[in-house]
Amino acid sequence: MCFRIIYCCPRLHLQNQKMADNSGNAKPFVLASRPDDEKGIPYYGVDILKKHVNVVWYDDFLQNKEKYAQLIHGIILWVTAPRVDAALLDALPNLKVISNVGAGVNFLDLDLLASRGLNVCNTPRILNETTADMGMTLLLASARRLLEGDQMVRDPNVKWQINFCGRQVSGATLGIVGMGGIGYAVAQRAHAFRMNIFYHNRTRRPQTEEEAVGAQYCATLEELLSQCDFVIIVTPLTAETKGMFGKKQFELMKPSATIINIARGSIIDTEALLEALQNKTIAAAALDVTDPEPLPDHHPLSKLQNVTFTAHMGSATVQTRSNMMALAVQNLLDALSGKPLVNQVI
Amino acid sequence: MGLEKLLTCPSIRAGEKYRASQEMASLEDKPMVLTSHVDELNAYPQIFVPVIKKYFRIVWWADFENDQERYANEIQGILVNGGLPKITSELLDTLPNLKIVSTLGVGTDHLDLQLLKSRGIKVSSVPDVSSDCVADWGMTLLVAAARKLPEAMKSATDTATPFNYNILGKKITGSTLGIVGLGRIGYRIAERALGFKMRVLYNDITRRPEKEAALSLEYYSSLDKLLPNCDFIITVVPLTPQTHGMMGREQFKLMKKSAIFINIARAPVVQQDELVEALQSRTIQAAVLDVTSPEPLPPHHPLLHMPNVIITPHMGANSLESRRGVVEAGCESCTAAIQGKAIPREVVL
Repeated sequence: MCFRIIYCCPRLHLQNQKMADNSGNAKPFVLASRPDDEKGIPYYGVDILKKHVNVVWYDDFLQNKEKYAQLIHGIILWVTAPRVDAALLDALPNLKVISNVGAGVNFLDLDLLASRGLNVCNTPRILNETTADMGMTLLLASARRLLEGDQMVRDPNVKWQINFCGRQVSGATLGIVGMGGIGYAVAQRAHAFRMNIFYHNRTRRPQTEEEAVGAQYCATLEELLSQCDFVIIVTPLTAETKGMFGKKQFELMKPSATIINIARGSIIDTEALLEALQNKTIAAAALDVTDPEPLPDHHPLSKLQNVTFTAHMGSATVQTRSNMMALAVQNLLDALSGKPLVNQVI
Repeated sequence: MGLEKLLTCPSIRAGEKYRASQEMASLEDKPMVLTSHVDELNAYPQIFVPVIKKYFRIVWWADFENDQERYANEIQGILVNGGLPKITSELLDTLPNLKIVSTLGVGTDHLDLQLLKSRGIKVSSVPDVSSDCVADWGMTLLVAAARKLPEAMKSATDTATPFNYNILGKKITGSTLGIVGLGRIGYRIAERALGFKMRVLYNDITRRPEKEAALSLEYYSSLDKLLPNCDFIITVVPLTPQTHGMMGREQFKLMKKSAIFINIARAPVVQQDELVEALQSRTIQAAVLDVTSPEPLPPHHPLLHMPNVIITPHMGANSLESRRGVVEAGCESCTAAIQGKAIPREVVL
């Protein structure tokens, strides 16, 4: 196995770290949510945690605060759990680092955490390609009505129609809103489908990068929206991007357009989206994230034939989620041993 | 008030008659073709009728049957859509001025080519316009199976199923795709797979060195040697005696246990019962079939009841844009023959 793979793979890097730990230092105590394949940390994540830290599960902690309170130096966050608030911070006097498994930290009160002198780390970049893969999956499946086709086949009462058609992806126009690492990875995939690409971003990318994927910059969102057959949201959730897509934005889009969201649910105003779909202001939507998440049972959006949903699975492959956990653990160990932090938010 | 309005005053009806007569005059210049019928679900949707009317005066089959004498001598071309109208020697007998049969699709299995050759009638098809569309579909099926899209959808929307963000798919980026058949569609699939940074291998009866070089593909002369290297395998071959049943028990055994198999070619390329066996015994991970034997499958067929199988109703070329392009291309071929010019997309008999 070549040096580059050892250097780049967080898992292998961690194993080296583990050997260093075994030679001397005790494993740190770290708070985490719960081991649960569906609703908590799945087995592959638990395995990685247990190898490198002493895990204190949250329910355990609640039952035995006195035992653990002084010991806990770090928290591993998996899908926003456990919930970090002032009360929890008060109960953990020796807490030094909060390490998120995931890139987005919009759910954290960073001011509060900074005021307590805590480090916060995340796992950007490592999930870029898998998330971009999901973005393209949603775009393709929605455009070509894959799930409807699969359902038709299974319903003996439905007669096959020769003219059951979707919209062509090759040669269509894609607007990428937010051209960071994930957005650019989406552009690379869309370019291979000969899609005509426009993008909107806070900053413009260098010309060579634009040319590599044939992407044209739009200084305003409005300029982008009116030109695109498909619009994909790939921005982080911030004060500026919250509610960025509302009635006005949907009205600017083509009536034949599809909106795809692989970023955060509340970048889209859910009510406005529902109305836009019901009024045929736009044609379809594909959502890996919603607001709220999950949507309540029987929400009208989930009844629409022209909406494709996935359950926040952008990064959901064994390799990527394992890599994310390994990286989060690495970040945490680095923070605790005073090493320079690569993925530091604060 | 515009000039047009002035011309049609004083009566709106007079204006309509004027416009209709103008349209008739321009139509009279256009050659007459015979074709099937309009049906939004199963024949021409209404939106494609204007495409045909740009080139021809249309004689719909029902009108032709009712009044052959009126149209027979004027019909110079036939557009065949979805196998209709059926070209028989009896039909040809009634059309003395027929120059061409243009089929609006890739295949010519439904045409008696020898019959047409013997009558000196040209034939055209549309083998290439839908290539991008079908390649898109091949990739759509691949990614949907990889990321377990039906299961993901269910988790997100079905109230009986919990919202589970831990449903893990198979990584696409950096994985290996084996393309069986590097024709027009297979090549376009390779282009798209490379966008996902997949490693692309191919098997074909003919090696394609230029295509290989253009995309940095790896050639395998032996299908059996290709299969064990692949995370995804997609069959994109025409149905021939050589490809009939080419994917069977032995081939599925050679694939990785984690492999996903996709068929967008023709159903008989796969030994379907042996595929069922391979899926049931977890010899391979999952399959996606756009084509089955028969089409549709009977409701109790095992393939319809496996969680790791996606089946779609033969919709590889089903984009509005592609369909429109096929109709347009067919009309172009038909017109060229009628005008005695070189025929694009001619099927040489």
